[in-house]
This record gives sequence, structure tokens and C-alpha cells, in this order.
Amino acid sequence: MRVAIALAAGLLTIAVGVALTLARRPLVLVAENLPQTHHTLIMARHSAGACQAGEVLPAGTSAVRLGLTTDIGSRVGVKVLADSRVIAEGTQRPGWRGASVTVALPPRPRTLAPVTVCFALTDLNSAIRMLGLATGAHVAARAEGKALPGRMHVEYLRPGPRSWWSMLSSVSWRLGLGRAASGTWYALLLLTLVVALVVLSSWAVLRESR
Amino acid sequence: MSVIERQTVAGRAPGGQTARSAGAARLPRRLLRRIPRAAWICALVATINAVAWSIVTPPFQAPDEPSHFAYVQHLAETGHLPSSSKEVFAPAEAVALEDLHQAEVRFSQENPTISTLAQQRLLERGLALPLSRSTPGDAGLAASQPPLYYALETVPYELGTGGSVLDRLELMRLLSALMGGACALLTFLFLREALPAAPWAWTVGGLSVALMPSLGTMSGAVSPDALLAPIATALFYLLARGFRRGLSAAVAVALGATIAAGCLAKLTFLALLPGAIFGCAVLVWRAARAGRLPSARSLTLAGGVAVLPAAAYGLRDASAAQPSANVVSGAFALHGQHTIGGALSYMWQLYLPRLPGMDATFHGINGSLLWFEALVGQYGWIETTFPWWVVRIAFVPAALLGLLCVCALVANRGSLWARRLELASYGAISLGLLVAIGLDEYLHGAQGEYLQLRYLLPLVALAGAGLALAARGAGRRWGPVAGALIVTLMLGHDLFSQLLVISRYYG
Repeated sequence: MRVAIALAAGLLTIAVGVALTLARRPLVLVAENLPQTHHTLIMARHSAGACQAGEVLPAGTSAVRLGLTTDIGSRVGVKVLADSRVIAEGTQRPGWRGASVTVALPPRPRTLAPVTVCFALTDLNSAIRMLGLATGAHVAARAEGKALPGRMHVEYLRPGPRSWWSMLSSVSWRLGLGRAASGTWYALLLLTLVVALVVLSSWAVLRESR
Repeated sequence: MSVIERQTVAGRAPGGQTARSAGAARLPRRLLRRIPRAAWICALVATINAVAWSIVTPPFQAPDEPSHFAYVQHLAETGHLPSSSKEVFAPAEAVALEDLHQAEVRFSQENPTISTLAQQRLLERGLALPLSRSTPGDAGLAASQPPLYYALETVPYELGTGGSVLDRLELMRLLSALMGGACALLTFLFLREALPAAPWAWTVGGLSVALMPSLGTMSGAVSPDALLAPIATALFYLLARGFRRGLSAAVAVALGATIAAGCLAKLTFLALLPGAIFGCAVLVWRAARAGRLPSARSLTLAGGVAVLPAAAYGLRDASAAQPSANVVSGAFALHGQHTIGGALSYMWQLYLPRLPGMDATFHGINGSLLWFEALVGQYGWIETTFPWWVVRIAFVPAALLGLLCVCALVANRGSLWARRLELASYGAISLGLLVAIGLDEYLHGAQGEYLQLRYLLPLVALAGAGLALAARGAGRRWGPVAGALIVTLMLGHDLFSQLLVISRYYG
């Protein structure tokens, strides 16, 4: 009986966790300063930083995604300045991976422009490539007073208008794309498999604890 | 006439040969029947989980999957091993990769998979083109790997004849899923031998392994890691069986076959060999001391089974354009800037917090924390991870599990000493793997590139043992309750990991 209660409590916790997760609104792209690119502007091997003027910070932006790529990421600090005054700042801890890093920022109620976005890389664990677009020196990002070869790719993110719950049908549809036999039946099959996992695991635990 | 006499006569009769063959044919069935139903359930759960992961993970978005697919395709189409480690894949695969935007999606969390009907139509048109599947014969990073996994995968590849690259990929992923099932089953059997006192804990450990997202994601993809995990688990099982019941001829031959299969499955297995050889040597020594050594013929057979297939592959490999031997020796070649002290310091910090006086390997973070983050979640091409607040919450159950595990070990400390040689064997196998990963990282200046949980999958049986021990650590009365909670914890981890991957690729 105790095992059944523990199992039920565990499954209920999972169900509540899933419901709460699906009630969240995922971050969506509000704006980006350039088309996405894989062009390397600079390669940082030691602590580095740069500032980029002429940016627009959309209202409600709660994170920025920077075009930085590495094996194990460094600490990334971001500051957004308007008239030399810091209006938002955030930090991403070291250890991130991949071809971009997302740094959370406190949201601002209004769109602000022009602003300067500065970032600083410290605690480098491996070389970091800064991705962006080659531009003229007058609009390029600047580091230590010198113009870099171009502007870094920056994306501005905020929670979208829809929760995961309301996006279930579109996510199910997309799950079926890029497959051998496309269709939403992939989502139904996945749901069936997950239900089977829960039922089989629970049954096995109850059976063996007798 | 007694039963024994009747059997003896039958064995000598003209029909004796037939009787023996029929007996031999029945042997696997008898062995399979001896496996408890709970072990089969664990296998079924692991297989279902891997199939679910094969759906969640978009085609070619598992680590190095395009290279592994290219290896199988070339082997199936030409009968030859790949000739080059370049990444110029056959046109049929290259078109699929391009139409799936594989390179843009890989590593870039901001890029989901294809999302419009027009993109799907373009993909379907590309898949229908009559393009070459055999040239140029490149298989990227996979080219230097031994052929066992890829040879097995040619079966589902051939079953998909007439289908597209993606049809074949899905069938190949299903074979990997069965390997995941075998891994969970063997974990259950390992626990039955290693922790015989609490049968309910075998199911806890087996199910926990079956529900591990790291096993699910690799068993739901085309990767030799899917085969290496059950082979390494079989090694642990056979060693545990040998230590508990003594070294029989059957166990000796099975150990030999497992070692051979491991050497032919993935080069990583070579790191497990010193520990495996140590374990086998202890088993032989103990059997000799007890006067129950299997016959010299059986031991020779076991040794032959272990060595000959790998030796034959080694001979063939020596004449290859990209010999595995060169890859292995190159991986551990010392250069001027490397020192033994530097290697020891690097390896220490890869797994443990830095000690005073050591030059920092990682900055602002330590290796053990990076491994813990990988344990909590590391998917896709390892760029998909949970946010930091999830990792922080995960410290709580991890600490509780560790505490329960210690309680179980303390409660059973008497038997630990009696089983020190068995534990030393498991320790040597684990150490071999950890040292190989660390040394490879150090010599290549990889700075965490190999810090991926999939490289530790050969030790999944020990993870299962740790979780089963944790359940036992709660005591006789509350153990089964702790076991139920551990299984639901693993189930929750698995489901939330799948949701994370779905949000990353299809959100």
C-alpha cells in the first residue's frame, strides 16, 4: 500500500509539473539586428568584450541571444546602455554550449532606441568565435576603442503570446515534418509510447514490491 | 533402465547426433526462459523509451549521426568499409541533410527543424531523386571505428530497400532501440548477481536504467554507443556472475565473446580492457585456488574467442587507408608541451574540484559540475540543456540518492571487504574509461569537447547498481517506497527531457 501511495504521489507530481510547464509561454524572437550568419568576426582566446551602438531594445525584452560559439562557454555579461546609462544588465554563467548564448535581462516596459549593447567575456574555457556580419568601420562593433570587422548578431527575446498548451497542435504538426512518412500520427505514436512507459513502469514497480 | 542410462544410450545411438543438435537448439530457449519476467519488462520499457526518443530527435540531429549513417550506407551498398574520414557524404544522404537544414539546426538552439509544407515537399522531392548512395565513401569521424555495429545496422538498412534515406534511418534507429532494451535487461541480470539480497531492488535498478534519458537518446539514434552500452553491461554481468558463482566454462567463453564484441563495436571499449583483463585474471586465480578451474580447452577457447576476431580485424585494419590503430596511437601521442603532471592535473580537474597548487583547467566552473549538468540534461548535439535553475533543483534528489547509497554501503560494509576484488575489477574498468576520456581531452586540448555523458554509457550498469543501492539504503521497511520514488524520479527526468527536446526542435 505504501508503495502504491508513493508511486501515485510521484506520478501526480510529474503530472502537475508537466501541466505547469505547458502553461508557460516560451520565449519568442521579437527582433534581430541582422540576418543570422555563421560568419566569424573575431576569435577571442582571452577575456574580451565589445560594444555595439545603434541597437533597438524592444519593449518587454527579457533576454538577448548573442552570436557566440564555443565548446564550453565563458561567463558572459551583457549591459544595455542608453545615453551612457545602464538600463538593463544580465549575466550567463560559464558552461553553456553551442552556437549562441542567451542572457536574461530585466524587461523594460517601452521600446528604447538607440541603445548600445555591450558584452564582456570572462573566465574563458576555450576559444570563442563571435558571429556577425562584416560592415564598415563606422557602424561596426567596437572593442577597446577600435572598430571590429563588423556587427555581432543579436536577437531580442520575450515571452510569446501563447502558452505551450495552446501550441500543442502546431507542435504536433511540426513533429511530423522532416520524416520518412510525414504526418501528425508521429505525435500520437509518441503519446502512446509515453503512456505505455508510465503504465509498464508503474505496474512493474507494484508487482515487484509485493 | 534409469533416466541417465537411457540418455547415455541415446547419446551413443545413430540418432545421438540429432538429439544433441536438438538439445543445443533448445539451449538458448532454456536460457531465455530462466530470465525473470521483470527483466523482460525492463527491456521492454527501455526499448519503448528509445523508440520515443527516436521520434523526438529529428533525423541526423544526434551526435555524429550523419557519419554513422554514411558508414552503414557505404558498407551495405559496396560491401567495403569506408575509405576516408572526410565529410563528403554520398549524394543521397547529402541532399537529405541539405533539405533538412541539418547544418543550420545543429548546435544552434535558435534554429528549429523544418516547419513548412513547402520545405517538406522539397525534402520529399530530394529524397525521391535517383542519387548515388555508394560514392565517395567518406564516413567522417566514424570511418576509423571497427565495423560490428555498422555491420548489424546493414540489416535494417537492407530491409528499407525501396525506401528513402529517412525510411532506412528510422529502421536503423529501431535496431539501436532493441540494443537499449538489451542494455536494461543485462543491467537487471547484473543487479541479480551483484545485489542478490533484495530482488525488488533489481527492478528498481533495471527500470531506472531503462528510463535514463541519456540511454534513451543514444539508443534512439544511429550510433555505436547504442551497442557499446549493452556490451559493457554484459561484461559487468558476466564478471559479477563469475565472482558470485565461480568461473564456469560457459562464463569464460561468454566473457571472451563479450570482449571480442566490444573491441569490434567501438574503439572506446579498449579503455575497458585493462579492468576486464584484471577481473578475468582474478576469476581464473580464484577458480584455480578452489580447484574448480574450467578445463584448459575451455580457457583456450575463451581466449581464442576474445582475441582472434579483434586480431583478424587488426590485421585487415593495418592495410586500411584510415587505420584504427593510427587513430588510437595518435590519440595518445605525447607532444612537447604535454607532461605527466599536466595530464594528472587535467584529469583530476575533469572529474573533481581543483586542489591548491594546480593550474586551472576550467575557469569559473569545475569539471564535476559540468558532468553534473550533463547528467541533468545534454541533448541534440549537446547544445540542448536545461536552464541553470533546473540543475540547482536537481542537486536535492542527487544529494538524497547519494546519502541513501552511502547508508546502504555502511550497512553492508562487512560484505564490501569480502568482495574487494570484485569491486576492484569494476573500479578498474571505470577508471580505464575515465582516464581514456581525460587523457584524450588533455592531449588534444579539447577543453571539455569530450565532456559528454554518452561517453560514460558503458558504466550504465554501475549507475543502475547505485540507484538500486540507494533504494536499499532506505532500509527494509521503506526501501520499496524509496524504490518507487526513484523510478518515478527517473520517469519524470525522462519525460521532462523529451519535452525540452521537443521545445528546442519543434517549438
